[in-house]
Amino acid sequence: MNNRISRRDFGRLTAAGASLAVLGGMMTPAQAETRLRLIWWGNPDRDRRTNEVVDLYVKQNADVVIDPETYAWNDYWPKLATQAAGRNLPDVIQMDYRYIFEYARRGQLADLTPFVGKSLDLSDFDPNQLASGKVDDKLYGISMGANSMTHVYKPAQLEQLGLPVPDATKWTIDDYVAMGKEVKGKLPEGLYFSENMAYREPSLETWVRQRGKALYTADGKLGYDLEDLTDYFAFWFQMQEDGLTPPADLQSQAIASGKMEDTMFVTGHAVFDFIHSNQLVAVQKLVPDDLDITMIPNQKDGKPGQYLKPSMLISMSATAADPEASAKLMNFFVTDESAADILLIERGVTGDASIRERILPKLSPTEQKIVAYLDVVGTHVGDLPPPPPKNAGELDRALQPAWESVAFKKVDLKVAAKDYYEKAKVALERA
Amino acid sequence: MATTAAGEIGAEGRRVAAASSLSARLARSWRRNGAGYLFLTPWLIGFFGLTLGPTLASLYLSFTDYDLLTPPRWAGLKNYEYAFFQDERLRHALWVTFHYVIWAVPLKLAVALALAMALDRSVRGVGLYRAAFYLPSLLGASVAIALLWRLIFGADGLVNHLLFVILGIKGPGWVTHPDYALWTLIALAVWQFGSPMIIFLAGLRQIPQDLYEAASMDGAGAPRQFFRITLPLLAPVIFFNLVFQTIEAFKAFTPAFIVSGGRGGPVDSTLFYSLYLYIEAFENFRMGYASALAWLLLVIIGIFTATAFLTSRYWVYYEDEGR
Amino acid sequence: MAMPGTSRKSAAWRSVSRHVILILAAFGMLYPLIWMAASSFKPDNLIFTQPSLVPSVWDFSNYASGWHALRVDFTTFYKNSFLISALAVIGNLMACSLTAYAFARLNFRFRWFWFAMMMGTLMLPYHVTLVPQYILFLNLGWVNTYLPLVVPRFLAVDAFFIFLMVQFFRGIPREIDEAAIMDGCGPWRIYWRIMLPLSSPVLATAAIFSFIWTYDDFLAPLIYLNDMRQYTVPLALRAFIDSSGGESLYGEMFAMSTLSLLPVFIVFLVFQRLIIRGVALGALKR
Repeated sequence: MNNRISRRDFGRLTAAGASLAVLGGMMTPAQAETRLRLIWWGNPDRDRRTNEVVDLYVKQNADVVIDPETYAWNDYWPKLATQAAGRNLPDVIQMDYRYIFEYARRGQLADLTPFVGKSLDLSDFDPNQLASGKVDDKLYGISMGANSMTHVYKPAQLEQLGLPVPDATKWTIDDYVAMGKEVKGKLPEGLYFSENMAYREPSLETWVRQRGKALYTADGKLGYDLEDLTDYFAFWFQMQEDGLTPPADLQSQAIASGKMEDTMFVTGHAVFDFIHSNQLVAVQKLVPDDLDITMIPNQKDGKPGQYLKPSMLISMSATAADPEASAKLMNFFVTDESAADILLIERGVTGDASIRERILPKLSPTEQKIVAYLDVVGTHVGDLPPPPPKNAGELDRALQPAWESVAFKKVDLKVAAKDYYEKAKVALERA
Repeated sequence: MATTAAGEIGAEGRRVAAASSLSARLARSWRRNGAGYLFLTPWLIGFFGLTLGPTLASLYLSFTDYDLLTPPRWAGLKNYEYAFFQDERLRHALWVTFHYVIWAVPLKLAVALALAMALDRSVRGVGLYRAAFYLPSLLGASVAIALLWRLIFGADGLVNHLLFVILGIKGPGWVTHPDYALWTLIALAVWQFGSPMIIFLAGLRQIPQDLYEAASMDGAGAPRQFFRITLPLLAPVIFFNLVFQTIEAFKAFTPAFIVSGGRGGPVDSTLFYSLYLYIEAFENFRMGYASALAWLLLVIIGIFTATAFLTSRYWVYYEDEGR
Repeated sequence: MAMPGTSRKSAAWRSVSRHVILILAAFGMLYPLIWMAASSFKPDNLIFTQPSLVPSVWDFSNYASGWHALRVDFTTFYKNSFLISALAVIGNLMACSLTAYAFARLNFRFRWFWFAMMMGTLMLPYHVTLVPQYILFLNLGWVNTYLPLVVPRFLAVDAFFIFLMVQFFRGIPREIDEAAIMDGCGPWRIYWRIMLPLSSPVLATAAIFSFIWTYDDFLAPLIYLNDMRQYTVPLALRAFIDSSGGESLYGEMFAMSTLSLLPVFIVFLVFQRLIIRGVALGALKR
C-alpha cells in the first residue's frame, strides 16, 4: 500500500517536473546565426537608449541576434563575478574604470589590440582617452565617455549669498575656505557651505596629485606619504569643526547612501558638493534650481589634480564565442553616427572627435554645460595616473570608515591617518 | 556484502541460508525504515543533488585562495589562520553581530507574541489589522527601505522632529551615528516582526479553547492562564521561532546592506558578519577567505542551535510525547 | 450578550478603545509605507525636497509611466512573479510536508543524523554557495530558465518549512495516529487523511511565507535570469534606481513598489483566514 500511494505521489512530482522542463525549454530561444550577449549596468534612461542601439544594430545586421542583460550598479558586480566564475561572461561587457584592472589582470577580458584598425575603427579617437583603457600595455576597454570631478552649485544661490562664481581654473583652496567663512553667518540653519568630501577617494587623489604625487606608483605601492594623508584629514576636520561642512552624523547620511538623492546638495544641506561631470543631468532632475559645475580648487602653487577618466568602458570577454562579431558590435557603440544620435553623452562625452562634433548641437543645455566643462578641464589636467594595483578597491572603501572615525572623534586624526596608511600597505601585499 | 562474501566460502546450503537471511534482514529493515525513507525521498534527492555539492565545494574553497576570476589555488589553513589571529575587522564584525542577535531576537519575538495574542480574537476587522501589521515585513529587501528608514531616523527625520516638538531636544542622526546606527537596525528588525507573529498565531490556534474555559471556571486570571496554558502549549512554536530567528539574525545581511549602502558604516558600526563576508567575497575578490568565514559562522550557529536543542527537553513539551 | 445593560456600555467602550489603540499602532507601523505611497504621487523633484505626507501637487502619471518604464512592461513581470511564486507554494507544501512528516512521526535509522543535516543547511550563509550552485545549474543547462527557482522547491530544499512543519506535527497528539493504526491505516493515509487536515494553520502559514518570500526574493532571479522578459517584479524594481549616480526614476519606483505590495497583501488576507479555520482542531484534540 505504501508503495502504490508513494508512486502516485511521485507521479505527481515528476509530472510537475516535466511541465517545468517544458516551461524551461520555451524560455530558451531558437538559435540564430550569431548570438551575442551584451551586459551593462544603468538606469531606465540608459536602458532605453542602449536597447534602441541594439535594435538598430540588429536591423542592419540580420544575421546577428543580441541578448541584452541589464542590472542596477549594486547587482551588477556580484552577477558579473558569478558569471565569470562559471566562465559564462557575456561577450560584450560594460566595465568600470576600477574593475577593469581586476578583470583584465585575471584573464577575464580579451586584448582588443588585434582588432584596432580592422573591426575597431579608432582613428578619430582621442589618444588620451584610448590610453585609459590600457592595462599593462594591452587594450582591454574602450572609453565610452570622458568624465571628471566637479564642484556643483546653484548660480542663483551664490548670487543671493553675495558670492562670486568661482573661476574654474584659478580658484584655490584658500579662496574656497575664505568664501565659506564669509557666508557662514548668512546661511540658514541646516545649510552648510560645502559637503565634507574627505571620505571620497577621488578627492584624496586630487589632493595628492596637486602635490605632484599619486595614489599608487607604477609598481603598485602607495604613491603618497603619510604626511599628505594627515594634512588631508586635518584640512577636512578643520572644515567640519569650523562649521563649514555638515556635522558628522548629517554628512554620514550621504556617505551611507551613496545615491544622488541623499547627497548634502540635493537634500539642501550644502551650497557646494562633489559630483562627477556625467552626473549633472541626474542631479539637475532632482533639484528645481538651475545648476552649474566648476573644478576642484587647487592647492597653492599646486599641480593639476584632476584628469579625464572614462566614466565607463566597453570590453570584450576573453571567452567570447565570436570575437570578430563582438568587436563589430563594440565598434558600433563607440563610432557609429546613428548610434551616437541615440546615446548622446548619457555615458560621458565621447573621445571620438567627429562624433562629438555631430552630437554637440543635439544636446540639452545641461548636457552642453558638461561638454563645455570638460573642454575647460581638458586644458588643465595632468597625466593619467598609473593603473591601480590589485586590492586598490579595498583601500577605496576603507577610506570611508577611516575618515568617519576622525569625523566622529573616535580616534585622533593623526592616529587614524597612520592606521589607514599602515593597513593600506598591508592590504596591497595581501592576496 | 559481508554476508555474501561469507556465503561463497561455504557449501551451497549455507549460501542459500545466508541469502535468505539477507533477504529476511532486508525485509525487516524495509519494514522498519522503508516508509520513512520513502517519505524522505524528495528531500534526499534535493539534498544530494542540489545542496550537498555546493556546500562541500564551499568547504573546499575555504582552504584555497579563490578570487572568482581565476581557478582556486590550495592554501591549506591560511584563511583560517588569518581569521583567527590577524583579522581585527572580523572580530569587530562578530561583536556587532552578537550585539544584534542578543537584542533583536528577544525584542522581535516579544512584540510578535504580544501582537499575535492581541490579534487572536474576534475583533471586527481583525484580518485587516493582521495584514496591516504584517505589511512592513513584505518590504523585505526592497530598495525603498533605506529611504524610508532614513526618513524616520535621519538627522532631519521623523523621530528628531517629534523629539524637538515634544521635548525640545535636538536629536542626532540616529541612523548615521556610530553610537546609535546598530540600534536603528535592531528597530528595523523589530518593525518587521510579521513572520514570527504569524507563526505564533498559527500556534495559538492549536491550543484547545476549552482549556481556557476550564481555567476561567476555576477562577484563573489572564496572567495565570498565560503562564499555565499559553506558554507551555506554545513552547514548540516559541522554540521554533527562537531557533530560526537566531539563525537568521546571525546571518543577517539585507538590513545592513540596504541601510548602510553596503558599507557597514558609519565607522563599521553596522558591519554584520554576513556583510563583511559578502564584501570580502564579491568586492575584494576573496571568495576563499569568505568561504572560511562562512564555515566559522556555521560552527558558531551550530553550537548555539545544538545547545538550544539539547536544553529544549527541559522546557519544550510536545504533545506527541504523551503526558 | 448575556451581560446586563451597564457592562454592555463599558464593553462597547472597551471595544472602541481597543480599535483606537490598534489603529494608532498600525499607523505608526505603516507610517513609512504611507510616506512611500504618498511619494508615488509626487513629481521627482519634490519627493526629497518636500518630504510631507500630503503632496502639494498630485501627479498620477508615475503609475502609468512606471508600468511601461522598462523595455518590458509590468504585466509580464507580474505574470512571471505569480507563476514562480505559485509553483513555489505547491512545491514547498508537498515536498516539505512529506519530509516533515517523516521526521516528526516515522522511525527510521539515522533519523537524527538526517535531521541535523537538514538543520545544517539553514546555517551556512548563502553567499558562499551561490557560485558553486550557479556552476551546478549552468552545467545542468538550467541558467536563464525558471528551473533553478522552482525545482528546488519540489525537492524540499528550504529547511525552514520542514522545521516549521515538524514543530506543528509534533503538536498533534500521537493517540490520533495510534487509533488510526489500529484501524489499519498506513503512514500515507495517516499523513494524507489526518496530519494534513489537522495542520491547516501551519500549512496556511507555510503557503503565505512561500508565496511572499518567493515573490520578494531578488537574489536567485538576479543570478539565474538574464533576459528581462523573464524578470520578476522585485528584480524589475531594482532597475529604476541608479546608485552609481545616473538618472533614477524615483516617483515611478515608489509607484511600482506601492503597487507591488498589493498582491501580497491580498494573498495574505485570503490565506490568513485559513490560519483561523484551524479552530476545529481544538475539539479534535481532546
